[in-house]
Amino acid sequence: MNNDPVRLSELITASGAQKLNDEFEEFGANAQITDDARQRILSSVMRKAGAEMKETMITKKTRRHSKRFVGFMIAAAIAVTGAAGVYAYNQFFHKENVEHYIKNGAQLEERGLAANIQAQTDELRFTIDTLLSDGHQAYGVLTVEHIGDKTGQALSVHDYAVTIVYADTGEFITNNWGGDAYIDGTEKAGQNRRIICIDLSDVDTQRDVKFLFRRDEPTGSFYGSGKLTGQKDNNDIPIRYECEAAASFRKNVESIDLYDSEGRKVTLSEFEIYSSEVMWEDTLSAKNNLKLIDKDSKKTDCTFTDITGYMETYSYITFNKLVDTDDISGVEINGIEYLK
Amino acid sequence: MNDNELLDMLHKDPQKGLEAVVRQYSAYVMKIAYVRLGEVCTREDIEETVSDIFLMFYNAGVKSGFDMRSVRAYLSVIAQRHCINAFHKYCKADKMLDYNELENIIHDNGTNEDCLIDAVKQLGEPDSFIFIRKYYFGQKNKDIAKELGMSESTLNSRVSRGLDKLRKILKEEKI
Repeated sequence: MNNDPVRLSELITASGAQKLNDEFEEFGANAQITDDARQRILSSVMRKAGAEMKETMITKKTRRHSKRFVGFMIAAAIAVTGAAGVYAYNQFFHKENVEHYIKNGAQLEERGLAANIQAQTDELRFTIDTLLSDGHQAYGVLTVEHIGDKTGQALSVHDYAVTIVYADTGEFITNNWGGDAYIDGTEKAGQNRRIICIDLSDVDTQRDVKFLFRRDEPTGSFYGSGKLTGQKDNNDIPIRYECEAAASFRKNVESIDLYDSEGRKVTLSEFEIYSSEVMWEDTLSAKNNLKLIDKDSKKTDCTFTDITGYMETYSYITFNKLVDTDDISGVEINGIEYLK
Repeated sequence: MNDNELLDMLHKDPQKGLEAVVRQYSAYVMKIAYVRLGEVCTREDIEETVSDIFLMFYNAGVKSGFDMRSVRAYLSVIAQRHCINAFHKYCKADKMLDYNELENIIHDNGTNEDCLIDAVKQLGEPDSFIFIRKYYFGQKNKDIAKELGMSESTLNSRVSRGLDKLRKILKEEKI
């Protein structure tokens, strides 16, 4: 080897590189990335650039919930196939994980909404602890654990992947639901917990679905490992899985529709405020200027918001506890009232 | 959205422009990073590297008033340099990148940037594509062959002949 040759990467400058645009374009012609990975990168870049795009966590003490919700005891998920068992209507397997995100999550047990759906490979166990739906979004808690020889070993949020498909046809619904996992150091060793948050605007919630799980370690291929389902995702990448669990996105929590003076609608459910249009692009402002209006028209700052998001076609703010919609007659967001 | 439209947006509203650049080029930069780092990093690390590259692009652009003609070229250069640094960081110097044949030829001939780019262009297609993929981005022969729809042996002989041709061009340039 010669002494100190110049690296090509150092020799070619940004201005010289412009002459190589055709070559660079050709290299990138078949570059692919999943929507979820793109969204993760985008969130990360915008955060680093100092631009607020997504979430902030604010917590507050829990409050009592009306017993009338017992009437909504529809199990979110019914059966599990493959290497899995049926555990619906049970105490949470990971109660502390559920209550990490839904402070009054104990109510869910009373109401039969502790799904406890499990599926596992020889190294990983996936548990959908709870899965709620207000018809607009599915919302729940997923716990992923190393098991067997790997029990307790560090688990990255990128060591596994989740794809959701229709149970009857295998048709693709979403990959990883674009959600970040928050690793805040309070998790058990070898365990991840994360919110499930899936937009249902293009999903037929009357059809059963399947969660497909697999490891997602670098394999030298973007396509990863696992058995092929024969279907492809929205990036035309073959769908793979190692274990699966059946579930449902049918509505199982209460919600009310609220309207502003121009007739624009937002939906308030037990776990979120949702709008099927981009109602608030400035997510922080919407969160910080959210008030709940009670039956006596008294406005109170909402201090238990959790994740805010705006996508190209919808906006939402989730709560970190279940809200009793019976007690609420409307909301105010950025000074605009939405009432029943 | 083409580069002119992206640059226009970056000038008018840098933050929105950045978001559009990430949406447009995340697959491209991910591919650059994956080629360099796929064997030494987790996917999480690669995504982190990719987001750092966009941030470096943004910071450099803000400093220069986004005075550039091609977003792709600018990103390519930043990505390539950053990925090589990241490779060495993740390998902790145990597995340094070898200088490739082209870098050795450049060194032997004292070639400058303009001469090199002209010489690569003179190779013509698809050889100029092959050389940029192999020597600039560090893509493996078998992956290049697969993506260009040719056998690996055909690719190997094109690389070998191309190197001879390039050596000759650069020698003549030197004279």
